[in-house]
Amino acid sequence: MPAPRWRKVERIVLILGLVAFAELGVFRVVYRDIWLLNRFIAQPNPQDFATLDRIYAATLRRPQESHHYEKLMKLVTAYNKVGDRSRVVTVCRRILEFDPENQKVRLVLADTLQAIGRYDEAAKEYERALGAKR
Amino acid sequence: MTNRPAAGQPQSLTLPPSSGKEPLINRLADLVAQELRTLGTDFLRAAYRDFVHGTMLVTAAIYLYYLVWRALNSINPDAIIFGLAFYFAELHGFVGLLGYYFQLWDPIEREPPPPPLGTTVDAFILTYNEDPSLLQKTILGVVNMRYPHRTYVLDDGRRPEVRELAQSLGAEYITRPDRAHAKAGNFNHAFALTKGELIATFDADHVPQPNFLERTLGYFRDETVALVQTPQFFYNYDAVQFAADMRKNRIWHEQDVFFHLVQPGKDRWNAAFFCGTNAVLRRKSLQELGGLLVGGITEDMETSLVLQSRGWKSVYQNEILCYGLAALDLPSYHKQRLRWAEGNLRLMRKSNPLTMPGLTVPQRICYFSSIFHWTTGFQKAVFYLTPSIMLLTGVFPIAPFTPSFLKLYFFWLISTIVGFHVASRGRGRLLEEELYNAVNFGTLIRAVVRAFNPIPPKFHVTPKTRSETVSYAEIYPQAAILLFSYVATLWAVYKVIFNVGSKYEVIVVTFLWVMWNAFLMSRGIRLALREQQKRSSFRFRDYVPVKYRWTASGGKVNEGVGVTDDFNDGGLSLLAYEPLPVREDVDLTLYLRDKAVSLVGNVQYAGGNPGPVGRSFAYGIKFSGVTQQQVNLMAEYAFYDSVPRFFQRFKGHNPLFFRLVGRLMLRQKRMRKNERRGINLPVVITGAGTPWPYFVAEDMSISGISLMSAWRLPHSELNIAILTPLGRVPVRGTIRREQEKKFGAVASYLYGIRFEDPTAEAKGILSELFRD
Repeated sequence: MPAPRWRKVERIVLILGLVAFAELGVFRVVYRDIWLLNRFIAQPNPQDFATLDRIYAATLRRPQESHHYEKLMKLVTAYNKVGDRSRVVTVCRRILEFDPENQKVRLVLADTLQAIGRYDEAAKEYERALGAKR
Repeated sequence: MTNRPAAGQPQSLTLPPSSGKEPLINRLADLVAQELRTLGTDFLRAAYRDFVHGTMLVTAAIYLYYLVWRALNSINPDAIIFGLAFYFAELHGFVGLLGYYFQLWDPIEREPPPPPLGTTVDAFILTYNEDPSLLQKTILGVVNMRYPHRTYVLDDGRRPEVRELAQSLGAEYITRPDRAHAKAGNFNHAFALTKGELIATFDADHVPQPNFLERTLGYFRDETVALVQTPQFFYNYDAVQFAADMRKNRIWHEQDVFFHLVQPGKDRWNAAFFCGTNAVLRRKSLQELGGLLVGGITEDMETSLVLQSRGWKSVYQNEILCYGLAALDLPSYHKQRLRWAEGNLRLMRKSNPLTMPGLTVPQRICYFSSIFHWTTGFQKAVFYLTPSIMLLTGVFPIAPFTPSFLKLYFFWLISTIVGFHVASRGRGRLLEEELYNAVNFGTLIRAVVRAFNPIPPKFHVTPKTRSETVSYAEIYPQAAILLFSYVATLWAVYKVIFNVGSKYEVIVVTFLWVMWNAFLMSRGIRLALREQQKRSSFRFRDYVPVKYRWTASGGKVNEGVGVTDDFNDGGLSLLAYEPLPVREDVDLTLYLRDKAVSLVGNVQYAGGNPGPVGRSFAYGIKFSGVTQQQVNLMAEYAFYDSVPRFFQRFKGHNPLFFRLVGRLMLRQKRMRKNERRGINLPVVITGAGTPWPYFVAEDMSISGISLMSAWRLPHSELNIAILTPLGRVPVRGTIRREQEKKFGAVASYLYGIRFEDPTAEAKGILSELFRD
């Protein structure tokens, strides 16, 4: 009794494991860009800058792609990490086109504009953020 | 004691009959409790009815509010097809619930009038390819029905052995040269050849109780009654459609609600329909139609529909008067459900109850509800697939998926669950209902598709034998849903791990839903893969005292008494307290209530020690040389005694409301000093004044024992020997309580016996038996 049943369980576990592994592979392909962005955010590597720029260009070019919003949010985090403020501004503005009520991103935009000396624009963004909060 | 009085009928103020054994104070207390129960019960019943009606209305109103809110606020416009599909599935549930509530509004419980005298009755047994050994039990049961009648075996299989069998049991045999219109055609052929004013009809595997006609014919005193239908109930509790928990003494079968609640509910509206077996029909009403209607596969339901449209009445006697054989394995079960579903759905095209003239509005609603129930396959598929699609694609049918929506959703869900339980009056089991929905949904989808097929379907008899191998094809829909749920769940887990997407709270809620669906599917698969019983015919569970006798090689004759665990006409499982010779013949005498059957059996195998204490032995014994008369005796005992008694042990279906009140009013349980255990040991009572001294304990404690007897025991002082795994316990006993118990059509006596001055040895053995 135990032997045949155990073998059945083993077989089922093996099949489920294979399915999980295959699915992980598919997941990595479908969410390749987000996967790479996560890796970059966790450990920025100068060798990945080119990849980051590629994702940035592709994301801005193709807003209809799935997980466009998530990619934009991660690009903000990634470029903040490497200090590329001009790109942070571009990406924040793109996010706010989709989600104008996103105060967190608006404040990040305002901070970044202030940091690069664009005080008037920063002031406007602060006003809009505070005005919405009120 | 006495039978429960009919509702509204006061019990007369007389003391329960005295056998001189009960103290006066106990009898007075019983009388007071009885009176309180009668008066209290009527009030409680009225209050409970109002409670049920109120709950139904409130929960239906909540459901309607939910649907209106959903339509106005939360169908996702960015996924309109997905959103509408989900919404229509919820709407489908609402329509089904309304039909369910309508049918369960006020079920009738009837008490039949006495049967009329001098009515001629024909009893038909319809058969095609069922095993003659199965048919034999049915023929015997039908022939044995009390009230004068003629029994006809209608054999579409044209089998000589069935003709011989029928004639040997006192039935007549009818066959025909073709099989046109299957079962309905078979019935109609005999209908034309017979003359009885009333026709009782049975399938080949449904064995009636002796009082079947006595409990049904009385309704025909009303000349407008065309049909009396009784429930279908099944004795093979290991079948697919049963959920049995022996430890908790609970049993439920999938058609419980239909036969014991929905049909009595339909009866209120004169919409109870003919189910093909276990019914009595008036010949005059069928003559208007030329017999049963043909051309469909649920000819029974269609016939009652047309009869009711012509002004005839149907009556539902909600009392188990027949025991049949449920579909033995999942393929047979699905085949049967496919036929019922397809037949019902085709009825909408053939004899549409919504448009047929002559029906009342409640009748139309009742029939439509029954037919509508068979369309739940698609609805369930939507519910099973939706959460997985949500997890996989991130697209929701509901938008916005906000906490306020979730609050409304859970409020609606809980109210619907409560409404279902209350409306089902203790019989509905939501988990089991959902489980069987999960098992059936694929079949029901097939039925809908086939119902639109213009080619008329063929009638297929449900197989009465079990298939030898597990059929994995039956679980493909459940396996597919399970696999899809697994893939979707993994996808969601990967999203969380790799920080993709941000609506994690939504993922958690959806994940719980997926887990629920996966649980249902896995239970459905487990049901399909349940271990198959290897025996060719069912073994009846019962504790029957058996005297055995065998001769050892040295010439010494050994004798003893044991108890069966189960039996049929081919063999039994025996529990004994001494070793028996394996692969040897033993002489056996089975004491089947008031009949003794002497047989020879070969001990096939010995099991290990099945008990927690002492020495006991379990044996499998196969009979040889069993005569037809012995087979008949065993069948009669099985169906008239064992089976009704077996199912009566399971807890009643009283709603929780009444169970709580009942506990407060029940006195007896609190009176016992010592713990009682259901230990079924053989008991020998010498000088009892009965044809033989062998009995089986129903339960025992250190201070007493209960046992059942076919006869009244004339003496109150008894010399008892209890055979236990630790040895024989001789003890004197005094009868403290005598109660007449009815199981089906058979009455027995239950005795409570107190031990008087047990010896030290006896006390020692009893203490050891009850030591935890």
